[in-house]
This record gives sequence, structure tokens and C-alpha cells, in this order.
Amino acid sequence: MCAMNRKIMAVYWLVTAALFAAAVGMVFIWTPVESTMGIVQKVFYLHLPVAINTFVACMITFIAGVGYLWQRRQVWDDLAVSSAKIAVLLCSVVLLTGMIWGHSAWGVWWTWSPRLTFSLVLWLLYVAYLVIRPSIESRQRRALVSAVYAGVAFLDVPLVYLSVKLMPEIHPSSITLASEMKLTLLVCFVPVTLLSAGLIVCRFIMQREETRAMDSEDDTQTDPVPVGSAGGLT
Amino acid sequence: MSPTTHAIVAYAVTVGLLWGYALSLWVSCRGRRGACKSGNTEAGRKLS
Repeated sequence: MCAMNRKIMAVYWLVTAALFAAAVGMVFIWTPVESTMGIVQKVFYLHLPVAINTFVACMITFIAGVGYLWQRRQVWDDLAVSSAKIAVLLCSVVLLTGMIWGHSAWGVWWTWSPRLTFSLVLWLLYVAYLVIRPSIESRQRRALVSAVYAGVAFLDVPLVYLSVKLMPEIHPSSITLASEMKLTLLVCFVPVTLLSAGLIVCRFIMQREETRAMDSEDDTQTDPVPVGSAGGLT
Repeated sequence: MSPTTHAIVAYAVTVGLLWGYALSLWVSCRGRRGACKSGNTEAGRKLS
């Protein structure tokens, strides 16, 4: 990255951190406490934006997989693996914050309700994506298998989303919010989305650097053919 | 745990994981840049 890009990234992260701090302050200081659930309802203001960003990260992995299958360019595979890593991170946050909220609201850390189960399956699918990749040595084959796998794994995203609507479910499907709460939720979406996008971009830049390093390593390992010695045919 | 503790722990987990990962990427980037500049490590030679 050049110096200009580094400065832009530094400003981006500072703005994101400031907005994140402001959003958390708004949640705890300005937003009223919900009457039924009490203060633990405030977990929702991070839980929902992080969950939506998890879906977006999974979708980027899926689109990048389709891009690879279409064009067979390494850049698509680099994007897919970068967004898959962030999807796992975001999904971990969703599961953990959901468990903490559930312990307070339902009295249990975990229950095998459809949405929770499909969310756990989503996390496991993308963890498996990252675990399986290094076991495939050929880079082209790894990218191909990953692209096909990403397409299959993405099928779980609509299942997570629709599970509360189609199946009997303990997880809240819709919540009525006061106007201040709606505004806080919208404000919380901004830093969480900026943070997720920033993480994917940074991870992608690093992934590209790693790929270039591997390319140059492959080039140096290839034996140069001496001039005038083409297998004794001259 | 009280509901307040639940809420605080949930925010701490979110901040810790997301910003912790962002920080680890930044440290990793800085390490690589340093390696590239000095050119005296394997990572530096590969990336320079």
C-alpha cells in the first residue's frame, strides 16, 4: 500500500472508531430502557447489525465464488477467503451476544430452536471452509473446491433468515421499537457496517500480498531453461 | 449475572472480538512493512 492509501485507511479507521464509540454511548446514555426485557435489550442494537453484516460477508464469499467459477482468476478466490474469515468472526459475535441475551431473557445459554441451530450450522460451514482450504495443495484446485463449497454453504443464509417465519420459533421474529430505539438501531448499523467492510478490505489486501509473495516464490523455484539447451534438439 | 452485567459483557465481547481482530490486522501489516523495509527476514524477502 502506498503512503496515500495508508493515510486514507488511518482516517477511515479513526472515523469508524469514533462512530462506534458514539453509537455505544447513544445506546447506554440516550436510548430509553425497554420496559419488558430491561437493560439486556440493549444487546439487540449490536446483535442485529452484526447479524446482517454476517449475511453480507457470506454473500460476498458466494459472489466471489461465482466470479472464480466464471473467470478462474485468483483475485476472486482471495476475496472469497477474506470475506469468509470476516463472516466467521461476525457470526461468532452474533452467536455469543445471542447466547448472553438468551441467558438473561430465557434463562438458558442455548436452545435448539431453528434460528439458533441454523446460525450455528452457518458458523460451522464457514469454519469448515477455512479449515478445509489448506488441506488442498494445488492453488487452482483449492480455489475451485472453495468456490463450489461457498455456493453450497450460502444456502444456509436464507434458512437462517426464514426460519423464524416458517417454523415454530422462540427467537423474536419482529420487535416493535420506540422512535428513539429505531434511530439508535439505524445509527448502530453505520459503524458496524464500516467496521465489517474495513475488515474485509484489509484482509483482502493482505491476502493479495500473500498471493503475490507465493507467485514470486513459485517463479524463483522454477528452474530456468539455459539458452541453447532445449532438451538436446538443437 | 445481573441483566446489566449481561449487557456489558455482550458489548465487551463484540468490541473485543471485532476491534481485537482489526488491531491484529494492523499489527500484522506493520510487521510486514517493517520486514519489507529491512529486507532481512523471510517474509520481507518474499513480499519485497
